[in-house]
Amino acid sequence: MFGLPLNTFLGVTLIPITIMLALTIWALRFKE
Amino acid sequence: MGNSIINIAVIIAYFLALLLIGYAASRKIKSTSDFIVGGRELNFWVFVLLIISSCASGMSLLGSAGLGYKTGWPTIWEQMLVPLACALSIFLFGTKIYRVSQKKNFVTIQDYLSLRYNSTKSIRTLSSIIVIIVSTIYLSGQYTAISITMGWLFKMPHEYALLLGAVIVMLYVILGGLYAVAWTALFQGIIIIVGVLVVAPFIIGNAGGLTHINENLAKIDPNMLALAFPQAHPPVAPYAFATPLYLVSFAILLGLGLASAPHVVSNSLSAKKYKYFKWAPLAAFGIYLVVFYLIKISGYAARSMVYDKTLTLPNVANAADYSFIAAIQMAMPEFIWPVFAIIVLSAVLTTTDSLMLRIGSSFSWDIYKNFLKPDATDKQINNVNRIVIVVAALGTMIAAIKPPELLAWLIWTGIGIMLSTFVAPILFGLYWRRTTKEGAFWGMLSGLISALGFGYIAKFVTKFPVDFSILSFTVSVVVLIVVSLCTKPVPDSILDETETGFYINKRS
Repeated sequence: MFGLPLNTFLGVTLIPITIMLALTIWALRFKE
Repeated sequence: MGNSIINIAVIIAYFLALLLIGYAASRKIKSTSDFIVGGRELNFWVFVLLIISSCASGMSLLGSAGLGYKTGWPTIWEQMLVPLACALSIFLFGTKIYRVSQKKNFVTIQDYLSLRYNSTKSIRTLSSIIVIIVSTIYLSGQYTAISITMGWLFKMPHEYALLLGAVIVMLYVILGGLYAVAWTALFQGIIIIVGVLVVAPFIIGNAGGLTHINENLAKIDPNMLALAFPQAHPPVAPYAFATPLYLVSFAILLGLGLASAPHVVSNSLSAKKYKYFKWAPLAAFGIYLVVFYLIKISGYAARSMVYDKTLTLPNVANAADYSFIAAIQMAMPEFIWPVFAIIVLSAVLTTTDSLMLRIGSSFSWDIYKNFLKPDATDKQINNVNRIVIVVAALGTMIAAIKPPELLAWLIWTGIGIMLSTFVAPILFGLYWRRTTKEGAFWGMLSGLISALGFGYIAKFVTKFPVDFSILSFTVSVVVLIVVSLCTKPVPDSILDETETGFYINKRS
């Protein structure tokens, strides 16, 4: 993908997406 | 780029705007908490951009592109870890400290440490001295980017560039304190975000697109497309330091070290509402990630264009640091170059100002008010704060004009010292009830001493396969745990009051 090896492409896209999902879960479970 | 009238006019307008913001902010300063924590009334986006801008170091814009230029994809981790540090700083440290600070009116992080460890003098004084030393070191490291940008884009001598940049920041910080720091962070943050979103696609397009860029990187060194360079000590090439082992230590250094840096974590004290902590981690992470991915890829683009011989970097020792500016000059029409000079300057100034304020407030609040002169009035504290900021700004600037070797080394060790001194007392203080005053004190001190020791060995004696700070961080954690277990626990009443325990959200 974009000239990148598959594992690099997955690494640089999936890791941030996972972190963002985790932060979304944090927000949804946040008690005000 | 020469000294055309437009260039000068744009830069003067920008500096005037900063000073105007500083002046407007000064009208809101009535008390010490107004000056240091913006009266605790920053709204959501100002708060988010303040956190982002203090996490981004002065060199982060030029430096990220430069590192990308030199190493390729293995250092993309930096662009995930620094945003993660922003997010961690908010939810891991900020949420709890904010809740306690609402009840106790904290002004600095040392206020938290002093309450949590039931210590009025030793912890507060030691931590303040470390904050002042580390922030001063870190501050003098920020000026490089000012002089690169101003010197190259405006053909301005190094010394004048530094003087002008440092004086402007100093003026708006002493005028408006955290209000000025936060409002200018919003103003400059928007400039950076919009600027990068506009310019990066042009740079990448000019270089022939992402696929072409990556093909060129692979021709230079196939490892440049990997997520890490091969594990080897010493590394397979001078630029191939980002090996898996090194990256693990780098992750801890950036993820935790930066998140707990006093000039970053203290921003959490100035949010207006507790509910901001709900979405702020995601907002800070997402914005920072997108902007800095684009900057990093611009660095790859510059490398690819140099390979294609369509771009030449200036013939200087740190040529890679010029890759972002050079790529902008190539991709964009000349009349908007000064706008992009402002983007780079904004990235520098937003960190510089937080550091200045942190040095000023650690001295005026934690040492002057809490140690030397407990009956000082708010006006006196604010004035002491301003004087310390002037001394720190001018002192570090003079040191930065011709940095002695010792200073260059200290700048390099700065963030490592932060990791080794602040993470353990704050993290364990918040989440482990058994952490004691003595544990925190000795953990901090042993972290400081071993950071200086390991830093010295790593720089001058022998290179480690990991970042040196991970070793001193381990020392500080071990000392904190062992000493804590051997000493008398902090009373439960204080632990309950400071919401200490293995939880983030309020226990119901």
